Parts: sequence; C-alpha cells; structure tokens
Amino acid sequence: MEVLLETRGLKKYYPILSGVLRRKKGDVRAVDGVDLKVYRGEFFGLVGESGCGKTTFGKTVLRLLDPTSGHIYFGVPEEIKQRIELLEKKEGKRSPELLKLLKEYDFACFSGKRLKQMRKRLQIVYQDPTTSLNPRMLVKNIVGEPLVIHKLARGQELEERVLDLLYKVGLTRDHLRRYPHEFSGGQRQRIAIARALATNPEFVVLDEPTSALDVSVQAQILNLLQELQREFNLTYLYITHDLSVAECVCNRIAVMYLGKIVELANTGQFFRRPMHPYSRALLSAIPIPDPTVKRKKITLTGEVPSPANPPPGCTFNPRCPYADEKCRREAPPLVEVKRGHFVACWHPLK
Amino acid sequence: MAKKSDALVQIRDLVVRFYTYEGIVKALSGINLEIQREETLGVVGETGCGKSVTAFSIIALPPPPGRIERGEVLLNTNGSTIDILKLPRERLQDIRGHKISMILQEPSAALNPLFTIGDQIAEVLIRHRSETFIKMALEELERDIEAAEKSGSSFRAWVYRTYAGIYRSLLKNRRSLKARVASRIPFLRRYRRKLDAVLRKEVVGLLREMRIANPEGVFDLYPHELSGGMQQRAVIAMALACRPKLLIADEPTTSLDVTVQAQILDLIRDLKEEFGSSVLYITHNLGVVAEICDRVAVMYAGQICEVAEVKELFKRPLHPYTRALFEAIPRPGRGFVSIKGTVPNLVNPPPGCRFHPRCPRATKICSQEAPRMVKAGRDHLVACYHYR
Repeated sequence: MEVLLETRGLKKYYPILSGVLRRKKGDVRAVDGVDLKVYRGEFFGLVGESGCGKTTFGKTVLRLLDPTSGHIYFGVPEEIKQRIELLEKKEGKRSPELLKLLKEYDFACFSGKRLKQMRKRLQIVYQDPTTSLNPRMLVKNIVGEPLVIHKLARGQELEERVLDLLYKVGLTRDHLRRYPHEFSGGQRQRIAIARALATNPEFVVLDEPTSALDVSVQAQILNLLQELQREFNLTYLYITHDLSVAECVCNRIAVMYLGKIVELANTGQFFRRPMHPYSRALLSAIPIPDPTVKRKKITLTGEVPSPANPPPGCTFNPRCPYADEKCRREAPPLVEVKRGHFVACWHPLK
Repeated sequence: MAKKSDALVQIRDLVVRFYTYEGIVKALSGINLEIQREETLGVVGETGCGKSVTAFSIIALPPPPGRIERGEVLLNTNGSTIDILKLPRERLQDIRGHKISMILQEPSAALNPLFTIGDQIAEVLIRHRSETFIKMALEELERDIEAAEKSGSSFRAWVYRTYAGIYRSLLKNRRSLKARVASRIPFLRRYRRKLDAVLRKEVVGLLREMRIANPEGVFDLYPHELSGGMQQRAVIAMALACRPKLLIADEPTTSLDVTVQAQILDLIRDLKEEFGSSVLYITHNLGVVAEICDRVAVMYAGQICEVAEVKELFKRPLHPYTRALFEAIPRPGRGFVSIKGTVPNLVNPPPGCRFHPRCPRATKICSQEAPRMVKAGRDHLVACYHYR
C-alpha cells in the first residue's frame, strides 16, 4: 500500500507568555512528537478525549497551523525521507542539500506558490457547520469559493461545477441561492462537505463532522462520506471522540493522549484486544445500548493532566492502574507489538 | 410498580406553543407523562422534538417565546398534590431548586463566572434552607458563649450574645431590621461569619459527596478554573444541595468526554439512590439510556410516541420511530441505517400521526387521524396503529 501522509516527529507547541515583557514561560505541548503513516484510500481514525491534541494535529498536518518542528510528507518516496533523515543526523540542520530537499518535499517547509498548490489537494470538514459556513454568503458562493481561489473554474462552468457538487452530496438546484441558516444541521454539514470536495482533493481531514448532529442524521452523513470516498478515492483522517462510530467506519485507529499516540492498530484488532491501559479504559467507558448487559467499567481516576506540565515518564502514569517505577521515569516509545499493532506502553495488556 | 395516584409528578395534556414570526410552533401537543418515586425516567428523541421544552415546562419555565397553553403538572409531595403551573411566582421559587432542580447541558453556562463555586452552592442553601443553618449557627454560638463564660471573658460572651440575638431575629423574620442594620455596622457585621462557616462546612461536605478531590480548595475557585467534568459536578452539587424530590437532567453529559461521562453517570445513579430522588434524564444517546434509566419515553415532533420499561423497550421496540432510532445506532459490520426524510416543521405539523411521512408502515388512516396511546404490554404504551 502506498503511504500518502507521513509525519515524523511532528510537534506543535504553544508558548505560554507572561509578564509585562511577554516572556516565554513554558510550552503547551499540544502535539508532542507524532509519527504517523496514513495509506492512500484509507479511513483513518484518530480518537482521544478533548484537549488531547487531535484537532491541533489535524490542522497542523494541513498547515492551517505551522508546526514547531517535524516533517510532513505527502506522497514522498521512501528514499527521500530516509535521505533527509540521514542528512539531518550527519550534517546538522544547515547543510545546503538538506535545505533544498526540505523545500522540495517536506510540506512543513513549503511556502508561497507551492504551499497554495498543495492546499488544493488537502481539505478539511469542521465540527460545527453553523460556525464553519459564512452566514453572509450564498451556498453557491461558499461551495464555489475554493474553485475561484484556485482558478479552477469561472462563469458558467463555475455554476455547473457547484451544482454538480451539490448533487453529489444530496442537495439540489433549489439550494443554490440560499443562506446557511436556511438549512438544518445535517444539510449544512453536506454543504461543508461539498466545499471540501470542490478542489478534488486527495486527503480530507474530518474533524468530528457528526458530533453536532443527531444519530439518524449522523448515519446519513457517514454513509455519504463513505460513498464519496469510494467515488473519489479519498483518504480520510477522521478525528473523533466517539469510539463506536470510529469502529464502524475506520480501517485503522490511533489513540491520542496528551499530544502523543499511545496505540495504533487495525480497527478489528483494536476493539477486540486493546493493549494500552488507556485505550481499554476508553473502550469500557462507552455506554452500550443494551440494558441487559452489565459491563465491567474501568473508571479512570483523576483528570487529563495539563499539557503545559505533563508528568514525567509515561504521560498516562498518574491515572494508570499498572504504573510502576519505570513508567514514572521513562517515556515508552511506540513499538510494534504485533503485526500492525503499535503500543506505547511498558506493560502492554495481553 | 406504584399506582397511578402515587406518581411523584404527573404531566397531563401539556400543550406548549411558541409564537414566532414564522407562525405558531406547536412545540408540545398534549404530553402525558408520569414520573414515579425514585425512578429514573429517560426521555429520548432527536433535536427539536420537545425534550427540553418538556423539562423546562415542569418547572413552569418554558423558554421564551414559548407559552404554556394548557395542561397540568401535578407535584405530589407529603401527601398533598399541587399544580405547579397554577402557582404564583413566589411559591414557584420555593419549589425550583428545592423540590425540583435541574442540571443543564453546558455546565460553564450554568455557573456564574463572577462568584466562587462555594458561594454559588451556598446561595441555594441560604435561599431554601436558611432556617436550618441559622439554627446550626445559633447552636454553635451558644457553645461559644458557654466557653467564653467559663474562661471568664465576659466581653466576648457579650459579643456572642449580640450575634445570637441577630440570628434569632432572622429566624423570626428573614428580612429582619436588626440583621439589616447590623450588616451595615463594622464589627457587628462579623456576625455573618458564623453562618458562613456553617455553610462552608455543609458545601464542602456536598462537594466531597460529588467525589471532587480537594473540596476545601475547590470551594474558593471560580468556574473557569475547573475542567468541564468538575464544573458539571459543581452544578450537580448545587442541584442536589436541598435533596430535591425530582432532579431534571437535560443532557448533562453531552458536552463531556466518554470517560468523564461514565464518572458523571455513576455519580448521578449513586446519589439518586442515596437521596431517594427521582430523575428525569433527557438525552439522545441510547447507550446512556440503557445505562441509567428505569423507564423510557420516546418523543417525536412534540408528542410522546412510546413509553416502556427500559429492558422491554430495548427488547421489543414497537413504534416505527423507536425502531428507526435503534437502527441508527452505529454497529460494526453493518451499514448505517438512517431515517429517511427530516423532522417535520412544527409550524405545520403533518396531519394524523406525525411520523407518517417518514414511516415505512404508514397507511391511509395514519395520515388522517392521530393514533392514541394504547397499552401494548405490561407498562408498555405506544401510539401507533400498526405496532404489531
């Protein structure tokens, strides 16, 4: 399978400024060194609690936020990635060849025209369609705007393309000249999806696209997303906190905790046998829609620590029932425990 | 199961309408519902079906521009029955927060950002149970007076006696002149400290019951200093401060994470057992319903279409809408089944059964006459012609 997106050591820190001189006091480590591969045509799920950095990761990957450090590669051959790594190790950050390669291949270093060209291939659908659609723009302008910005269509052709997109997401010609407030939540999300698809992207970040919707509407939107994926051969990065939805739609799932990936596996494997204590607690917290099932809950004590001041060692250790000395001292790396099943834990569950 | 007359709250033929520019929105059209003692009744339905309006109408606070047109909400406590909707405002305020209290969806919006958590919870206690706490303060003062007399400091004893006098006058009259004057005079103003200390002790105890770590510290924090889960706990503490008979929970966990949701659900369930309250739990998450409810009412477009015990409903959903809701739950290895069409506009609700335009079983009669609630089993009511 072809790797479409790969991040290496991706970090996004927000500085904490304080005092009159706005001096830097520390960092909020929203994304703290994420290595991730997403294959072409995949429905990749990224789950975690609020504040764990999943949305920041999604935005950083698209360069809507500039990463603090790390590399983002879109469809870059493996040799070049290795070459960059080698150069970084051997010759340091300033070698001219490295800089040239980075400018050429690392999306994190793109700027100007190249960046804009790349943006065409990458899109995002936001969580809340009431805030992601401009209330003063007509639907045809909302959906047509990406086409205008990237000079993909104009005049009559623009209108046709927009209409075509609306049909694809299940809206009709009547909807062209309306404002977002005239639509229901589900329909608004359809408009947002149509806008994301306007430039014919390869990779779409779905940032909790259904969390503001009812179950029955959620089902419609997820069905639509799956159909569109098949039709346009899209790759999705699906950011969510709803594990039961992720189980149904995703091929692979990564669990994030405090800016780090703690587990990564195929969906089936993950739900059958989660190996990280955090994943297991997360799974056990989902309410099962069956009153006869009495499940064994693993209730986590305490709350997610502040990403400005993460605990030493494994970031999960203060809440982990299995934590010991080693966990408090050393952060576990993400290692492949089984084929395709990565866990960052010193004591993965069997 | 309790008998009909024994229900804690009976909602009878409740009609709420919203007068908007687009027309009259029939938000609730004839709701009949009973909440038994010490049960958790779940209300499920999609956005805009009238779940929250029902909840707010129980405490006679339909969200504007809504108006309660008709109906009764009978509250049955201590052997007497009162119709909440007919009460004057002052009496209503004695009930709200005391007999019936509410937890809202967004804890950050329910808390006042300008007051500390402790002060906000204490306010509820002072409003509804001031007498108890003034008496407690008096008792403590009397102990202090004794101690002061024993140690021979007659001045201190005199000061305490003055304070006690103020409290006694407060007991007689909540807006006593003596207390009002005293609170303007330096030194005398200090009489409040005893009451504050008593309240603080009570509130800290409450916060501890909410399983808040370090309740002493949380007492002095402002809402923005707490996480969403902690804020919701503080709101629950406020709602349960007076041991209400009925707790209305309007999607209390929707804005929280699953792990925190699990904690909050445990908390609500345990406290309900402990205090012997009934809970009206409004949600659209069927998983949560299965977890904590005893009975469930399913609402659609301003009407109740099915009421049953939770196990019965999950085993044998009868109304086509309920079935469709269950189908829409994401389950792996199966596509998503969505309900075709959209929720009708309640300015012009469809005639007959309101679900008929989207119903796979609809026949001619469904579009002509609204079905009545019929008994379809033990404690299982359904409003459908074709439930069989």
